Amino acid sequence: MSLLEVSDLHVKVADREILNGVNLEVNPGEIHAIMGPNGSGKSTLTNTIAGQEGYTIETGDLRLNGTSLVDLEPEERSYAGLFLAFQYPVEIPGVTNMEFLKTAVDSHRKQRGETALSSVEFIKNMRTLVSRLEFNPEFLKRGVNESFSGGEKKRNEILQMLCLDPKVALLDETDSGLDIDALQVVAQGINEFRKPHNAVVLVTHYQRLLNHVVPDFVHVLLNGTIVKSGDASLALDLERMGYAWLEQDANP
Amino acid sequence: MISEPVKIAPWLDAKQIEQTLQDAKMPLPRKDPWKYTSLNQVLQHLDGPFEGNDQFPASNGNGVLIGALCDPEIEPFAREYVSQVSKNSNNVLNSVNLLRAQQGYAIVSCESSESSRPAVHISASDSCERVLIVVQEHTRLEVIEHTSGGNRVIECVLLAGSQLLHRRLQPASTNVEYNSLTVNLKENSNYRMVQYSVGAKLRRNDIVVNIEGEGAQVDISGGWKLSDTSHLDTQLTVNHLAKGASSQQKFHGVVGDSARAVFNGRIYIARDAPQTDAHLQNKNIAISDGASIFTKPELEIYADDVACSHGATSGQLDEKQIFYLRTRGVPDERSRELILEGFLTEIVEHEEGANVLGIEHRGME
Repeated sequence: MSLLEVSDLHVKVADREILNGVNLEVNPGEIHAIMGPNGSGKSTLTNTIAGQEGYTIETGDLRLNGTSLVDLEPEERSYAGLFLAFQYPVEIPGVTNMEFLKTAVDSHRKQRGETALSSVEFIKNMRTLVSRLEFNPEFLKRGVNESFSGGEKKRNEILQMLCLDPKVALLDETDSGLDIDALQVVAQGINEFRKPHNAVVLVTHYQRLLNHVVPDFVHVLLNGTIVKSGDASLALDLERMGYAWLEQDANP
Repeated sequence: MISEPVKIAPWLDAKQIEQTLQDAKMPLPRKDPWKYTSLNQVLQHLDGPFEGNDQFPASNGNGVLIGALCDPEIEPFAREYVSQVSKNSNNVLNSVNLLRAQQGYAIVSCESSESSRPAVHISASDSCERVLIVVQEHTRLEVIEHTSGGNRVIECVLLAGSQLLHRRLQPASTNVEYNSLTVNLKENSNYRMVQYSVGAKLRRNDIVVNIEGEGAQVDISGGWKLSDTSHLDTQLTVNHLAKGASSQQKFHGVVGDSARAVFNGRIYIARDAPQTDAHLQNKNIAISDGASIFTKPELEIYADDVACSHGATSGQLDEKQIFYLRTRGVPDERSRELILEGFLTEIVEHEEGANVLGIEHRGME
């Protein structure tokens, strides 16, 4: 059974059809990259999968590990094993990272019928992760993404992913706005996360992240449908030739 | 005219104060600064009766003098400052308080050191009282004030180089309450105030801060969390009358049910106050359709070379923040709570404040 299955997905945003028939099958252990020009529907796809309000599924289905996500609340999708790393992580002033992460982890534990971790245990578990993602230990006391640099925000997304250990991680342009060092830290985090039983879907504009995280499949999303799929070499072709040739293929 | 001594301050003539009151221009109901709070209701409240309280505040240590205004040790300070500190504030209700007050007392700081600061607790009571706080030169004092009903008028003077930390805690109350506070700062003094409020039937806080000395510093912050039909009105004015001083005002409020929050923050910078640094911010979140928020920042500048900013917002919870938390598995309701707690945590600096607002103190500092 595939881990994530998107079948014939049609999505409207404010009465405009953005996705018209997306099909995607992601199996355990795989890394998929979804590429496409601005406005092709990449973020609509990730936001719909994560359950954001305002994205109406007209037809089609979304399944995670066999369970349909369509009627699930965003938190229920999270418990089912889905994670979305945001393109623009949200700032929540006054709520510390520690509090945020602990509340998230405890909510997941509660769902699994486990008791909440003590603060001491939690900090102990977090310490290694925090330093591996090159955060200052003071990081846990800071407000969620509050006055974080672009790179810090994206590293924080990766930290949350490692913390919650989802089955499927959708990373929405996690590479944008990163300098080379931060890109490597992020890539290392993704590679560390990658296990035979989970999967990663990277949404990206550029080839450069794919130099560090090698995808098994590359898909091109154009005008709301996947017009071409291939292996990692497709990303190199796109980098060289752009999307125009595909557009011609798609609209003969 | 035969004179009649004011009960709590016999050197003052009640007849004369009554006369001034009759001649004074009364504030107009339904006009600023009484646009959203019933002046009539407050005036009726000032008529009493009050249950009364003859207790003086308690102090935790030495270095502070507390006594009735007519106490021989206190009287010289009282004669100098009572009704003088607030004489320019044009608040006739301060005069009404002087005539009606059941008790009047003063808190005078006498000594302190770098390592110690006497703390005085003023407890809540449904009474009509007049309070004078004198922070003498180069001393430090902390005042923890509880309010809950009643009418308390505080006049406070910070002499050169002194410091006052004023924590005002306003727990839930079913009473009408009127508090008036005037603070005058001399050179290089430092006044820091926090005010935390939850619902009351009607709670009005008038605060006027006059910066009269160069280089003085003022930092006033606080927040409110209102529910049911409670009504809170805070009118805060900072007058910069001397150069090179700084002031900060920062308030956050959460308003639910059919509660009403009113905030008016005014910064006035006189011609003689260049090199002033003054900032004001008020943010509100309405968490119900029936909640009302009236907030207005005002800035009046007559000096050159000043750095000022002001802003006031009222809105609802940010759906993007809620969605972000939910995608991490935090349930919808808990997400909302967490965001609101964070919003209030930004203005909470100590445990007592967190307790009043009903949130956990997180020690973010």
